[in-house]
Amino acid sequence: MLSFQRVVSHVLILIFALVVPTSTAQDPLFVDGAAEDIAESRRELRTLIRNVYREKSLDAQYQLYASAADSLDELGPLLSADDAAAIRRHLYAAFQRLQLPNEVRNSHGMRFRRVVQGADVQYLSGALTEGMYVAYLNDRAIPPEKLNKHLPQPTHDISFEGVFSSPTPRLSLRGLTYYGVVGYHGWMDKTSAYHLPSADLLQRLEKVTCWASDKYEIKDHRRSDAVNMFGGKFRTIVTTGDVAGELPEATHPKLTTHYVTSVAHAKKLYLQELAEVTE
Amino acid sequence: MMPRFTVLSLLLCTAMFAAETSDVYRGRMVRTEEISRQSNPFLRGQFLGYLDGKLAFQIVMFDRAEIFRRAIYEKLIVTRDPSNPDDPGFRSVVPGQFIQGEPERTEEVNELAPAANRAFRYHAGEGPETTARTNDTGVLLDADEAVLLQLEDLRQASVQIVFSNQSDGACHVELTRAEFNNKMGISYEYQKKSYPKNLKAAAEWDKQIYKPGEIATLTLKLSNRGENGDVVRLLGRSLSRWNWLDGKMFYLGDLAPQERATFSRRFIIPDDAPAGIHYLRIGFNDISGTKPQLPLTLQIAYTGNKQSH
Repeated sequence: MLSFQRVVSHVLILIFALVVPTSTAQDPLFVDGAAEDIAESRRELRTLIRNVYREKSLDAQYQLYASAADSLDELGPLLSADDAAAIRRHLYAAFQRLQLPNEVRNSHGMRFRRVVQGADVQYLSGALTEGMYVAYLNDRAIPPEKLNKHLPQPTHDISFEGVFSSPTPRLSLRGLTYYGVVGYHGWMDKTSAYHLPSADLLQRLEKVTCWASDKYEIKDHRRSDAVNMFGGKFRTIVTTGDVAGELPEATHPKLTTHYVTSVAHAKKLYLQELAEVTE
Repeated sequence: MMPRFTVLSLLLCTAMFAAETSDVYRGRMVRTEEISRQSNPFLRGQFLGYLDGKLAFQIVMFDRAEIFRRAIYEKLIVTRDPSNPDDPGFRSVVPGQFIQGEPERTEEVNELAPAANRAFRYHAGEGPETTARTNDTGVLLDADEAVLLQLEDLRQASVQIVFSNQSDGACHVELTRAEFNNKMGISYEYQKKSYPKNLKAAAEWDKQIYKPGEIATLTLKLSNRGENGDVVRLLGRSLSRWNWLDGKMFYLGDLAPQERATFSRRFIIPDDAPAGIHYLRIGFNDISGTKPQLPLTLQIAYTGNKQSH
């Protein structure tokens, strides 16, 4: 029969066995100098991420976030996989909480402004300029004889003398065909970050004529069948509020080209802008 | 003495005749006699095919005559002895006398002449009524494309066309899709291989600039520049955002190597059509199943309405 003292000692041993290993894992008793640095850095990184939330200034918030992201890039290989993943989750949450800039600019010089459509927030670009389009044409080295379906018709200022040039590179390019829009988009957007704006969004913007991202569906089944039978395809175009299906080779004198991008991509663009400024 | 003998002779003769009977019969038919003739002129139309860039119909005048005739027979008298049933009788034709048969009605349809140089009102299906004039041979060209308009819907199996004028009456022509295809040189009976890469197309408008309310005529010229055996069998159709530019069929049919085909269609520009350039494409469908894509971009510019699109 066990005495009362022996029972108490067994219980104490059991508690010691359960508690000591846990406390060792959380706060190692014996760490070298590098491990201390990592732990310190990890604490600093968490503090930095918390400060991203607290910062009120837009630029300062983005700079803090950029610093945190850079720190994680440096520290990440030294952390355990679980630790790194946990911090990345924190960082992602901080990214989600970043304030929205009113305007951002991409590497092609295209400016995007914030547009709010109900609960949906997007960034809509300004009109594609002749200079941007000329850069695309020169980069792609499209022979002039093949440009008919890309270039706006019947009047445009883009000339070709070995290289394409425009005397008015800052002016909005007008009358680009759907083929031209898609061609430029494919060249500009390597990460599928940009899209044509929806017809709904374009309708809300006054006096905008632009190709829209929506598929065009012919409501009349007979006509739809005939169009399919004869290989036709219509694209959605919004002409100052009027939504219609138009052939992709069509150009309109007032037609300008706009793209939209997501909030997440806009934040990335703003971070890039800040990085360029600080460099 | 003499009178008594005469009276006895007469009595005897009477007794002899009283013993025989005479019946009147129709003898041989001598001729037929026309009692009356009523003329019922009518029109008959037929689809000829594609002439001078338009669908052609020929209208011919016919007459369905209603004639009443009767036969004229010899008058035949047969005298028999009634007491002798085997008596064949004595037959004699009464000279100068005839028996008329019952009147009989017959109809005769005779082609009279083409309905030449006449104005006709006509409409196809539920389409609007239009007018046209026949030429010297009674051929009427559907310049307003009233018939083609009804056939734009490819599911339409036939179309009923009614031609009429006040003096000649009306005629109905039922044009089936099969007959139409046959006359237009489109045959589904045998398969042909298609090589659309050899197909060259050109389009031509009859004017450079149009005004709202005008009629624009598009002539499509296709040539098969292929070598041996390269036959294309094509239907064309206009595709456009604008309803008045959309859905016009171009029945080009089989195009053998080195052959050319031309087909014209009219586009009625609405009064409220906005000024500017309008786009359409002629899509081609090879009826053997493949789809040679030879889209054309045709531009129409017209003035008058300053509204832009």
